[in-house]
Amino acid sequence: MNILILNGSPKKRGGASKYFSGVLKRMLIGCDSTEYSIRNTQDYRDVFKCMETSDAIVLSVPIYVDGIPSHVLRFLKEAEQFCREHACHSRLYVVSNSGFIEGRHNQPHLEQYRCWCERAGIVWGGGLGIGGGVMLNVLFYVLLAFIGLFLAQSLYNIVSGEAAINSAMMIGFARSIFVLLFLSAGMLVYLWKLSRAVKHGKSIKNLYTRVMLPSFLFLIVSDIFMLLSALLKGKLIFSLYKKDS
Amino acid sequence: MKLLIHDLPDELFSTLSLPEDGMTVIAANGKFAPCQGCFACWLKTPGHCFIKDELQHIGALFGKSDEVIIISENWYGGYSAAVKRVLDRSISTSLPFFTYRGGSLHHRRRYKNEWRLKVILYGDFSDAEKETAHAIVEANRSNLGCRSASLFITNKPENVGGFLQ
Repeated sequence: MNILILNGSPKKRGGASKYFSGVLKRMLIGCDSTEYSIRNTQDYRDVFKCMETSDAIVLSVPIYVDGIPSHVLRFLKEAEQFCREHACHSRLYVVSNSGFIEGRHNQPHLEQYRCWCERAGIVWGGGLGIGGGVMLNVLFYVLLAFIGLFLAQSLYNIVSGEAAINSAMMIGFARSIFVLLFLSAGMLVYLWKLSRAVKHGKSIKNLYTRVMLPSFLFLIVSDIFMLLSALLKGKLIFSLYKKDS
Repeated sequence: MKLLIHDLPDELFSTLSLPEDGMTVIAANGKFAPCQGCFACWLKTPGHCFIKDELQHIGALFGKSDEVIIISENWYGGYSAAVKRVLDRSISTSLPFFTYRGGSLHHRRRYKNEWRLKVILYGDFSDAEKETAHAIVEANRSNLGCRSASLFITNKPENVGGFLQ
């Protein structure tokens, strides 16, 4: 089965969209998947060529001001014409991620892709709306940091002549991994569901999930994250409230 | 102040009788740079975009308006790429911090102006696109924190002027 995975983030490194498409790709065991970014118009020709032969297209894309980002709209307009002229028979699946915690916030955005499918003559496979996309992406880096710290501590223990791993270390590490996996559980389960639909060529109803955190905690953690990010860029809290003239 | 964002061809736009003087008009001609998704307008250059073009201070224009009118061709139940490019670049009108609004989380507003959103979409519409357009405009109202939002749909761009009064 040929699957075309498209990353709709405007960021060079792909951001949260790249993270979610990467997780989904690893779940599509046994499928032949090709991945492209649609940041640059130069890549369109290769993408369109791939669309002709793909059984399924998966677009992982952020939501911008409640809808499709402008650079993705530009791509879709050209893709619509290509699909109509070349009678593409793929099925489109969309993973939409939002900075807000409510997964349902992605609903109008996903509906726009259903409308695109009607115009392009493509079958709508269904969508997954993920709330708290940026936070889920950051949690992945936190997971990597925990693993790095665990390995560094083990190495330090060996150099100090102690056992590499002790029970206190193991319990702490396991607890951290459990919390991170719990926070990402909705995303992992629903991406798995979507991957099954993609693999079996079925259409599904839209799915919605979020980072597994109460919204009031999400608000606090996100605001702290924004403050720290601004500090790293040399900006203090009061300067963030500046009104432009 | 009123802000008008449109993607009409020049010859058609020039035939419109605008409701009053002092309206700021942004012709979305597709020449502006798209949003890079970098959040610099929140965290590095708070209040404005780092890209130095006509849209660099678009967030402040939203913050000064009592009415924003958007005229756009219908693309999949939403705005055209050219108009959406203007909207995507306008997020500096909000703050990076969150708050509850209408029962869900949204970004806090940078400016405290009371404003209305009027959206006029033109072109061919399927039933699904009409439904989606209503959902998009309602999401905009809630997300951008405007007092009210209205959507007008017409098949012919020549009819757009009738919705401006």
